[in-house]
Amino acid sequence: MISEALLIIAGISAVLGAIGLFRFPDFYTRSHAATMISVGGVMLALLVLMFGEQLLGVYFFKIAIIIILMLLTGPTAVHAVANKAYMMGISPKQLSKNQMESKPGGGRQ
Amino acid sequence: MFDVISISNIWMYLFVFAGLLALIRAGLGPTFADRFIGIGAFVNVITLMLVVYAIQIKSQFYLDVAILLVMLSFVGSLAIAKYSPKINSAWITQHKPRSPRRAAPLGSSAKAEKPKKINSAWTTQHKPRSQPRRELK
Repeated sequence: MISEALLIIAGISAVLGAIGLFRFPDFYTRSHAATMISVGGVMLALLVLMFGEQLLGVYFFKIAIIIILMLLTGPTAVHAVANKAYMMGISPKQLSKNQMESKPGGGRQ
Repeated sequence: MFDVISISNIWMYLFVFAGLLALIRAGLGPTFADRFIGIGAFVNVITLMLVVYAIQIKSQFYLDVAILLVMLSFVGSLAIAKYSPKINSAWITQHKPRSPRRAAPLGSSAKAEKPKKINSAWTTQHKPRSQPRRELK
């Protein structure tokens, strides 16, 4: 019961994130939507599958390793690519003020 | 313990739909970063599918495959962030228009058209730089 509800919530949040990948205007906001797919969708479903198995079993620990790896590597990767994109000059749209513009080398390496 | 697929597989269809949309975004992303975002989301969905398949057929090896897939996705994204070219490559389609003096051929009497003005707050609220940006190779 609870597991089905949580899985359906995870699927709906993943679909919302996938719609956000198309609706958002910019790379930086699309990265937010992709994070919603990753965390709200996949990690929640993996948590449900982890506790659906035998507690402290092999599946439990392996899925826990997968979740910890995704928590460690996801923000790092998105941060690295967003930093590179900003250094390459991909500017955010619909922004009233760019605060990095006044700094030396802002928006450009 | 519950049988994953036999309960209700509506959520799996939702995940497949989300993965396909992410793959389409990876296909037509205007910049390299959008492609990375789409590919990362698609790899996450594939990881979930591998875990579901491993639970369904009661084999633990697909969990190892999922762990390796997450690690390789991380390494690939760091490689993209480190080795992608600076600017003006084929990966980026947001080219700035060339200056009209350079674009017009010599001796042509046709007036060079002005570059298109983008009506956004980003371009209008800031003074232009003193020196034009040099495009790296």
